[in-house]
Amino acid sequence: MLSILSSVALAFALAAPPSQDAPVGQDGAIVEDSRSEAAGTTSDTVAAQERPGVISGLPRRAPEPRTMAAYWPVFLVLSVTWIGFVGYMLLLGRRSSRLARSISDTGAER
Amino acid sequence: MNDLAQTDLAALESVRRWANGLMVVGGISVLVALWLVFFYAPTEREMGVIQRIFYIHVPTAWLGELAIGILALCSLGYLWLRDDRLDAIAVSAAELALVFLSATLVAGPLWAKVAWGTWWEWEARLSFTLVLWFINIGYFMLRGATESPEQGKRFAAVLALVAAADIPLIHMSVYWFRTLHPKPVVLNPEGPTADAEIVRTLLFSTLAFTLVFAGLLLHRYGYERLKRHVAGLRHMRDDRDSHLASPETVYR
Repeated sequence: MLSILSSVALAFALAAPPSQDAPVGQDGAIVEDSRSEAAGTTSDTVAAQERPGVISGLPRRAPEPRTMAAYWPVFLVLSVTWIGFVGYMLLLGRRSSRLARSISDTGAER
Repeated sequence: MNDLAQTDLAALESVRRWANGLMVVGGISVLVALWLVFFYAPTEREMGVIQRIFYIHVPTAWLGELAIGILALCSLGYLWLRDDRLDAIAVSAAELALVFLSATLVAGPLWAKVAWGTWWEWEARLSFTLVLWFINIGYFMLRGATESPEQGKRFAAVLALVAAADIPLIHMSVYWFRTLHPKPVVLNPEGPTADAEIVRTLLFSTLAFTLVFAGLLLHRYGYERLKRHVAGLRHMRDDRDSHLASPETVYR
Protein backbone atom coordinates (compact mmCIF):
# COMPACT_ATOMS: atom_id res chain seq x y z
CA MET A 1 0.00 0.00 0.00
CA LEU A 2 2.78 2.34 1.00
CA SER A 3 4.66 1.56 -2.19
CA ILE A 4 1.55 2.36 -4.31
CA LEU A 5 1.06 5.70 -2.53
CA SER A 6 4.73 6.57 -2.87
CA SER A 7 4.73 5.70 -6.59
CA VAL A 8 1.61 7.86 -7.16
CA ALA A 9 3.25 10.73 -5.30
CA LEU A 10 6.40 10.29 -7.38
CA ALA A 11 4.34 10.29 -10.60
CA PHE A 12 2.64 13.57 -9.60
CA ALA A 13 5.98 15.07 -8.69
CA LEU A 14 7.44 14.15 -12.07
CA ALA A 15 4.34 15.33 -14.00
CA ALA A 16 4.14 18.69 -12.24
CA PRO A 17 4.80 21.65 -14.62
CA PRO A 18 7.93 23.72 -14.06
CA SER A 19 7.62 26.87 -12.00
CA GLN A 20 5.93 29.75 -13.84
CA ASP A 21 7.33 32.43 -11.59
CA ALA A 22 10.22 33.32 -13.85
CA PRO A 23 9.42 36.17 -16.27
CA VAL A 24 9.37 35.43 -19.98
CA GLY A 25 11.60 37.42 -22.29
CA GLN A 26 10.79 38.86 -25.71
CA ASP A 27 11.83 35.73 -27.58
CA GLY A 28 10.01 33.43 -25.17
CA ALA A 29 13.12 32.48 -23.18
CA ILE A 30 12.94 32.40 -19.38
CA VAL A 31 14.77 35.38 -17.98
CA GLU A 32 16.80 34.87 -14.85
CA ASP A 33 15.26 36.32 -11.73
CA SER A 34 17.13 39.51 -11.03
CA ARG A 35 15.83 39.61 -7.44
CA SER A 36 18.44 37.05 -6.52
CA GLU A 37 21.13 39.43 -7.69
CA ALA A 38 22.74 41.72 -5.20
CA ALA A 39 20.99 45.07 -4.75
CA GLY A 40 24.18 46.90 -5.59
CA THR A 41 24.09 45.89 -9.26
CA THR A 42 21.41 48.44 -10.28
CA SER A 43 23.76 50.47 -12.44
CA ASP A 44 24.91 47.27 -14.20
CA THR A 45 21.25 46.34 -14.92
CA VAL A 46 20.49 49.77 -16.37
CA ALA A 47 23.60 49.54 -18.53
CA ALA A 48 22.55 46.06 -19.69
CA GLN A 49 19.08 47.37 -20.55
CA GLU A 50 20.57 50.09 -22.69
CA ARG A 51 22.82 47.69 -24.61
CA PRO A 52 21.15 46.39 -27.76
CA GLY A 53 20.42 42.68 -27.84
CA VAL A 54 20.22 42.30 -24.08
CA ILE A 55 16.85 41.11 -22.75
CA SER A 56 15.52 43.61 -20.23
CA GLY A 57 12.64 41.44 -18.99
CA LEU A 58 10.04 43.99 -20.12
CA PRO A 59 8.77 42.84 -23.52
CA ARG A 60 7.47 45.60 -25.78
CA ARG A 61 5.05 43.13 -27.37
CA ALA A 62 3.41 40.00 -26.09
CA PRO A 63 5.67 36.96 -26.47
CA GLU A 64 4.75 34.42 -29.12
CA PRO A 65 3.03 31.41 -27.57
CA ARG A 66 5.16 28.28 -27.41
CA THR A 67 2.42 25.98 -28.69
CA MET A 68 -0.36 26.39 -31.25
CA ALA A 69 -3.02 25.75 -28.57
CA ALA A 70 -3.49 29.49 -27.99
CA TYR A 71 -4.48 29.91 -31.64
CA TRP A 72 -7.67 27.81 -31.42
CA PRO A 73 -10.12 30.76 -31.53
CA VAL A 74 -8.32 32.16 -34.61
CA PHE A 75 -8.41 28.79 -36.38
CA LEU A 76 -12.06 28.32 -35.42
CA VAL A 77 -13.04 31.74 -36.82
CA LEU A 78 -11.06 31.10 -40.01
CA SER A 79 -12.67 27.68 -40.44
CA VAL A 80 -16.22 28.91 -39.82
CA THR A 81 -15.76 31.91 -42.13
CA TRP A 82 -14.29 29.87 -44.97
CA ILE A 83 -16.79 27.04 -44.60
CA GLY A 84 -19.46 29.74 -44.98
CA PHE A 85 -17.83 31.30 -48.06
CA VAL A 86 -17.03 27.99 -49.77
CA GLY A 87 -20.54 26.75 -48.94
CA TYR A 88 -22.00 29.86 -50.57
CA MET A 89 -19.79 29.38 -53.65
CA LEU A 90 -20.94 25.75 -53.94
CA LEU A 91 -24.55 26.85 -53.60
CA LEU A 92 -24.07 29.43 -56.35
CA GLY A 93 -22.39 26.82 -58.57
CA ARG A 94 -25.22 24.36 -57.97
CA ARG A 95 -27.87 26.96 -58.80
CA SER A 96 -25.98 27.94 -61.98
CA SER A 97 -25.68 24.32 -63.13
CA ARG A 98 -29.41 23.79 -62.45
CA LEU A 99 -30.15 26.87 -64.56
CA ALA A 100 -27.87 25.62 -67.35
CA ARG A 101 -29.70 22.26 -67.27
CA SER A 102 -33.08 24.01 -67.50
CA ILE A 103 -31.79 26.07 -70.48
CA SER A 104 -30.71 22.91 -72.29
CA ASP A 105 -34.07 21.28 -71.45
CA THR A 106 -35.88 24.32 -72.88
CA GLY A 107 -33.75 24.04 -76.02
CA ALA A 108 -34.60 20.34 -76.34
CA GLU A 109 -38.32 21.07 -75.96
CA ARG A 110 -38.11 23.48 -78.88
CA MET B 1 -33.52 34.91 -79.98
CA ASN B 2 -33.33 38.58 -81.00
CA ASP B 3 -30.25 40.83 -81.24
CA LEU B 4 -30.87 42.38 -77.82
CA ALA B 5 -30.85 38.97 -76.18
CA GLN B 6 -27.62 38.08 -78.00
CA THR B 7 -26.02 41.31 -76.74
CA ASP B 8 -27.21 40.53 -73.21
CA LEU B 9 -25.72 37.05 -73.31
CA ALA B 10 -22.40 38.38 -74.65
CA ALA B 11 -22.33 40.92 -71.78
CA LEU B 12 -23.05 38.14 -69.28
CA GLU B 13 -20.19 36.07 -70.69
CA SER B 14 -17.90 39.06 -70.15
CA VAL B 15 -19.22 39.43 -66.57
CA ARG B 16 -18.50 35.73 -65.95
CA ARG B 17 -14.92 36.10 -67.22
CA TRP B 18 -14.33 39.13 -64.97
CA ALA B 19 -15.82 37.27 -62.02
CA ASN B 20 -13.53 34.28 -62.56
CA GLY B 21 -10.49 36.53 -62.88
CA LEU B 22 -11.34 38.40 -59.69
CA MET B 23 -11.94 35.15 -57.83
CA VAL B 24 -8.52 33.78 -58.85
CA VAL B 25 -6.68 37.01 -57.93
CA GLY B 26 -8.74 37.24 -54.71
CA GLY B 27 -7.95 33.62 -53.80
CA ILE B 28 -4.19 34.19 -54.22
CA SER B 29 -4.44 37.45 -52.23
CA VAL B 30 -6.26 35.66 -49.42
CA LEU B 31 -3.42 33.11 -49.20
CA VAL B 32 -0.87 35.96 -49.00
CA ALA B 33 -3.08 37.67 -46.37
CA LEU B 34 -3.11 34.45 -44.30
CA TRP B 35 0.69 34.35 -44.43
CA LEU B 36 0.77 38.00 -43.26
CA VAL B 37 -1.70 37.28 -40.45
CA PHE B 38 0.32 34.40 -39.02
CA PHE B 39 3.93 35.27 -39.86
CA TYR B 40 4.21 39.04 -40.42
CA ALA B 41 1.78 40.75 -38.04
CA PRO B 42 3.06 41.03 -34.46
CA THR B 43 1.22 39.59 -31.50
CA GLU B 44 -0.74 42.40 -29.90
CA ARG B 45 0.32 43.32 -26.37
CA GLU B 46 -3.00 43.27 -24.51
CA MET B 47 -5.13 40.64 -26.25
CA GLY B 48 -2.34 38.40 -27.48
CA VAL B 49 -2.91 35.85 -30.22
CA ILE B 50 -6.70 36.20 -30.47
CA GLN B 51 -6.30 39.75 -31.77
CA ARG B 52 -5.51 38.06 -35.12
CA ILE B 53 -9.27 37.46 -35.51
CA PHE B 54 -9.30 41.22 -36.23
CA TYR B 55 -7.90 40.53 -39.74
CA ILE B 56 -10.99 38.45 -40.60
CA HIS B 57 -13.67 40.14 -38.53
CA VAL B 58 -13.03 43.72 -39.70
CA PRO B 59 -12.91 42.94 -43.48
CA THR B 60 -16.09 40.85 -43.32
CA ALA B 61 -17.88 43.62 -41.38
CA TRP B 62 -16.69 46.27 -43.83
CA LEU B 63 -17.80 44.18 -46.83
CA GLY B 64 -21.18 43.43 -45.25
CA GLU B 65 -21.73 47.16 -44.91
CA LEU B 66 -20.37 47.85 -48.42
CA ALA B 67 -22.86 45.31 -49.77
CA ILE B 68 -25.68 47.10 -47.94
CA GLY B 69 -24.44 50.39 -49.43
CA ILE B 70 -24.50 48.91 -52.96
CA LEU B 71 -27.94 47.45 -52.24
CA ALA B 72 -29.27 50.84 -51.13
CA LEU B 73 -27.79 52.76 -54.08
CA CYS B 74 -29.13 50.27 -56.63
CA SER B 75 -32.51 50.18 -54.90
CA LEU B 76 -32.70 53.97 -55.06
CA GLY B 77 -31.79 53.78 -58.75
CA TYR B 78 -34.42 51.10 -59.31
CA LEU B 79 -37.14 53.19 -57.62
CA TRP B 80 -36.22 56.08 -59.86
CA LEU B 81 -35.46 54.44 -63.23
CA ARG B 82 -37.25 51.04 -62.93
CA ASP B 83 -34.24 49.41 -64.60
CA ASP B 84 -34.31 45.65 -64.03
CA ARG B 85 -30.50 45.44 -64.08
CA LEU B 86 -30.31 47.67 -60.99
CA ASP B 87 -32.70 45.35 -59.18
CA ALA B 88 -30.53 42.39 -60.21
CA ILE B 89 -27.43 44.07 -58.71
CA ALA B 90 -29.46 44.96 -55.59
CA VAL B 91 -30.64 41.41 -54.95
CA SER B 92 -27.10 40.07 -55.56
CA ALA B 93 -25.63 42.58 -53.11
CA ALA B 94 -28.33 41.72 -50.55
CA GLU B 95 -27.39 38.04 -50.70
CA LEU B 96 -23.69 38.83 -50.27
CA ALA B 97 -24.50 41.21 -47.41
CA LEU B 98 -26.22 38.30 -45.68
CA VAL B 99 -23.16 36.06 -46.17
CA PHE B 100 -20.66 38.66 -44.93
CA LEU B 101 -22.78 39.97 -42.06
CA SER B 102 -23.37 36.39 -40.91
CA ALA B 103 -19.60 35.79 -40.98
CA THR B 104 -19.14 38.96 -38.89
CA LEU B 105 -21.79 37.91 -36.39
CA VAL B 106 -20.21 34.45 -36.02
CA ALA B 107 -16.60 35.66 -35.73
CA GLY B 108 -17.50 38.46 -33.29
CA PRO B 109 -18.89 36.31 -30.47
CA LEU B 110 -15.99 33.82 -30.78
CA TRP B 111 -13.58 36.71 -30.26
CA ALA B 112 -15.75 38.26 -27.56
CA LYS B 113 -15.85 35.01 -25.56
CA VAL B 114 -12.06 35.06 -25.23
CA ALA B 115 -11.51 38.85 -25.07
CA TRP B 116 -14.54 39.99 -23.01
CA GLY B 117 -15.49 36.69 -21.37
CA THR B 118 -19.00 36.67 -22.87
CA TRP B 119 -20.45 35.46 -26.15
CA TRP B 120 -22.81 38.39 -26.55
CA GLU B 121 -23.37 41.78 -24.99
CA TRP B 122 -26.31 44.04 -25.84
CA GLU B 123 -24.05 46.99 -26.54
CA ALA B 124 -24.82 49.52 -29.29
CA ARG B 125 -22.59 48.34 -32.12
CA LEU B 126 -23.51 44.67 -31.75
CA SER B 127 -27.22 45.47 -31.46
CA PHE B 128 -27.24 47.73 -34.56
CA THR B 129 -25.35 45.08 -36.54
CA LEU B 130 -27.87 42.44 -35.51
CA VAL B 131 -30.71 44.80 -36.52
CA LEU B 132 -29.04 45.20 -39.93
CA TRP B 133 -28.87 41.40 -40.30
CA PHE B 134 -32.58 41.08 -39.49
CA ILE B 135 -33.48 43.85 -41.98
CA ASN B 136 -31.41 41.97 -44.57
CA ILE B 137 -33.44 38.80 -43.94
CA GLY B 138 -36.62 40.91 -44.08
CA TYR B 139 -35.56 42.16 -47.54
CA PHE B 140 -35.80 38.62 -48.96
CA MET B 141 -39.01 37.84 -47.07
CA LEU B 142 -40.62 41.00 -48.43
CA ARG B 143 -39.63 40.21 -52.02
CA GLY B 144 -41.32 36.85 -51.76
CA ALA B 145 -44.35 37.96 -49.78
CA THR B 146 -46.13 40.07 -52.40
CA GLU B 147 -48.42 38.74 -55.13
CA SER B 148 -46.89 40.88 -57.86
CA PRO B 149 -43.10 40.56 -58.31
CA GLU B 150 -42.86 44.22 -59.34
CA GLN B 151 -44.54 45.28 -56.10
CA GLY B 152 -42.14 43.04 -54.15
CA LYS B 153 -39.17 44.69 -55.83
CA ARG B 154 -40.47 48.17 -54.97
CA PHE B 155 -41.25 47.35 -51.33
CA ALA B 156 -37.88 45.64 -50.87
CA ALA B 157 -36.09 48.64 -52.42
CA VAL B 158 -37.68 50.90 -49.79
CA LEU B 159 -36.59 48.50 -47.04
CA ALA B 160 -33.05 48.58 -48.45
CA LEU B 161 -32.99 52.35 -47.86
CA VAL B 162 -34.00 51.73 -44.24
CA ALA B 163 -31.14 49.21 -43.94
CA ALA B 164 -28.67 51.80 -45.24
CA ALA B 165 -29.77 54.22 -42.52
CA ASP B 166 -28.45 51.70 -39.95
CA ILE B 167 -24.85 51.87 -41.25
CA PRO B 168 -24.04 55.37 -39.85
CA LEU B 169 -25.51 54.23 -36.53
CA ILE B 170 -23.13 51.24 -36.47
CA HIS B 171 -20.15 53.47 -37.23
CA MET B 172 -20.98 56.29 -34.86
CA SER B 173 -22.16 54.03 -32.02
CA VAL B 174 -18.63 53.90 -30.54
CA TYR B 175 -18.69 57.70 -30.21
CA TRP B 176 -22.32 58.15 -29.18
CA PHE B 177 -22.70 55.30 -26.68
CA ARG B 178 -20.60 53.56 -24.07
CA THR B 179 -19.63 50.38 -25.89
CA LEU B 180 -17.20 47.51 -25.48
CA HIS B 181 -15.99 47.95 -29.04
CA PRO B 182 -12.86 50.12 -29.30
CA LYS B 183 -12.80 53.35 -31.28
CA PRO B 184 -11.42 53.01 -34.83
CA VAL B 185 -7.70 52.24 -34.91
CA VAL B 186 -7.21 52.92 -38.64
CA LEU B 187 -9.89 55.34 -39.83
CA ASN B 188 -9.66 58.00 -37.16
CA PRO B 189 -8.92 61.70 -37.68
CA GLU B 190 -5.49 61.51 -36.01
CA GLY B 191 -4.32 58.69 -38.27
CA PRO B 192 -3.81 54.99 -37.46
CA THR B 193 -3.08 54.28 -33.81
CA ALA B 194 -1.95 50.68 -34.32
CA ASP B 195 1.52 49.38 -35.27
CA ALA B 196 2.45 49.82 -38.93
CA GLU B 197 2.62 46.03 -39.44
CA ILE B 198 -0.87 45.60 -37.98
CA VAL B 199 -2.29 48.34 -40.24
CA ARG B 200 -0.55 46.92 -43.34
CA THR B 201 -1.83 43.40 -42.62
CA LEU B 202 -5.36 44.69 -42.03
CA LEU B 203 -5.36 46.73 -45.25
CA PHE B 204 -4.02 43.83 -47.31
CA SER B 205 -6.51 41.40 -45.77
CA THR B 206 -9.34 43.86 -46.51
CA LEU B 207 -8.16 44.18 -50.12
CA ALA B 208 -8.01 40.39 -50.52
CA PHE B 209 -11.52 39.89 -49.11
CA THR B 210 -12.78 42.78 -51.28
CA LEU B 211 -11.47 41.06 -54.43
CA VAL B 212 -13.26 37.84 -53.43
CA PHE B 213 -16.40 39.88 -52.70
CA ALA B 214 -16.25 41.57 -56.12
CA GLY B 215 -15.85 38.20 -57.84
CA LEU B 216 -18.79 36.73 -55.93
CA LEU B 217 -20.95 39.78 -56.65
CA LEU B 218 -20.28 39.55 -60.39
CA HIS B 219 -20.99 35.80 -60.37
CA ARG B 220 -24.23 36.31 -58.49
CA TYR B 221 -25.26 39.18 -60.80
CA GLY B 222 -24.54 37.06 -63.89
CA TYR B 223 -26.62 34.24 -62.45
CA GLU B 224 -29.51 36.58 -61.62
CA ARG B 225 -29.55 38.13 -65.11
CA LEU B 226 -29.43 34.73 -66.79
CA LYS B 227 -32.23 33.43 -64.55
CA ARG B 228 -34.43 36.40 -65.47
CA HIS B 229 -33.54 35.98 -69.13
CA VAL B 230 -34.60 32.31 -69.06
CA ALA B 231 -37.77 33.19 -67.12
CA GLY B 232 -38.59 35.81 -69.78
CA LEU B 233 -38.10 33.31 -72.59
CA ARG B 234 -40.31 30.75 -70.81
CA HIS B 235 -42.96 33.39 -70.27
CA MET B 236 -42.90 34.28 -73.97
CA ARG B 237 -43.13 30.61 -74.95
CA ASP B 238 -46.04 29.98 -72.56
CA ASP B 239 -47.85 33.06 -73.91
CA ARG B 240 -47.35 31.85 -77.46
CA ASP B 241 -48.53 28.31 -76.61
CA SER B 242 -51.63 29.54 -74.81
CA HIS B 243 -52.37 31.90 -77.70
CA LEU B 244 -52.08 29.07 -80.21
CA ALA B 245 -54.25 26.79 -78.08
CA SER B 246 -57.01 29.34 -77.45
CA PRO B 247 -60.41 28.63 -79.13
CA GLU B 248 -60.34 32.04 -80.77
CA THR B 249 -57.05 31.22 -82.52
CA VAL B 250 -58.36 27.78 -83.54
CA TYR B 251 -61.51 29.39 -84.97
CA ARG B 252 -59.44 31.87 -86.99
